[in-house]
Amino acid sequence: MSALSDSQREALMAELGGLRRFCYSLTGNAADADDLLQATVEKLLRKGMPEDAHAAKWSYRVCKNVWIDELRSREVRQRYPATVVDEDVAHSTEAVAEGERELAAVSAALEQLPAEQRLALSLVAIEGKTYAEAAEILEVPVGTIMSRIARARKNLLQHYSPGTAEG
Amino acid sequence: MNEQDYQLLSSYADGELDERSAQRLEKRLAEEPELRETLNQLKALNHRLQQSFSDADTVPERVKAMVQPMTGNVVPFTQRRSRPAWHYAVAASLIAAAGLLLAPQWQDPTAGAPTLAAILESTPSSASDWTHAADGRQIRPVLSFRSVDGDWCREYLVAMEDTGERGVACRQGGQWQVQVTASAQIPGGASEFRPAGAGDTDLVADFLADQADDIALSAAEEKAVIAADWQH
Repeated sequence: MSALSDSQREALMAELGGLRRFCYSLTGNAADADDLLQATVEKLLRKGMPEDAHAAKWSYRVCKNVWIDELRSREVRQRYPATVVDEDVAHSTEAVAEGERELAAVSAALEQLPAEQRLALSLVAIEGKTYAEAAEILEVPVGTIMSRIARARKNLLQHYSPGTAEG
Repeated sequence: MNEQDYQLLSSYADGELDERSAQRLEKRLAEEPELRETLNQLKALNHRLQQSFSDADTVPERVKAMVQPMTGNVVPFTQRRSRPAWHYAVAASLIAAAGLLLAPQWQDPTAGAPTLAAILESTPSSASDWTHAADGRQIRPVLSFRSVDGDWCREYLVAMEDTGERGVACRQGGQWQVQVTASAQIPGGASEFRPAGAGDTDLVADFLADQADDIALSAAEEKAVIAADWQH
């Protein structure tokens, strides 16, 4: 039996869509986003959630941790490139539908960001979290979120021009 | 543009500046074109980020099924009757496809959790694919058929660490009810199998024999029935 109560499951259910989007903004493609989402849910089911935990913050935090773990293990793998098939190459060369080009372009730009900037920007600019919520999820001060997001945007605008859309 | 101004604009674009700072910045924005231009860039970037990811929130069914609240309902089916020969063939082919070996002992059927129900509701039958359910269980619907009572039913397999289970669930009153389950063993990596019905206590095969109204649905038929939420 899983460690989550029915009400926690319902609360988590309501977060899944946003979590999937968050996973996509971190991994940059649908297949890896699904895998990250599933790994996050598996961890949540295995480890449970404290009674008083806020399902959204808790699940985003777990997701962040799973992603960071994955990044680290990928770094380890990349030190031994002969032993690993790089799936990312396959993803990037996949033919993408017209409607997905923009997403691919944005994802490629996000790929250039340091992990902590990507996390902060995803939570605020894509997920619509407040700085305070992002700070809780990432376990850093609000001021840190503020500066990471500003730096993320500056970096992003160097790699990616959002066009002429006037605010 | 210095870092401090850039950060101010970034926070302003996110609506995170307090009222006084925001008013001060607005005054400067009215007078400084460079500031305005950067703000527009940031807003455009925000807009494109949100647009780009607006459709990225589609959750795979297998993940939804893992999270669904547990409210199991299990109805063991224990009668045993004779069956026509073709049912042996159908059941045997299922086991062949699954590579499972039936065990003669019966397991207390506890596999009726709605994680299973969600999978039965939306996952097509397969000869090889497993769908993750809660607690590391893997579930594979193997066929769909109409029961003699007119209900849609599905046979499925459940793989746990080193054991397995077969079962049949039928959709009654909008809910999947487990009708019968039997333990099954996954042979160690081998493709060996024992045909269904070869054991003395094959409740699942019995159920198919007794309750199946017609032969199993084809993949295309099943797809149509799933798409119609089993309302055909």
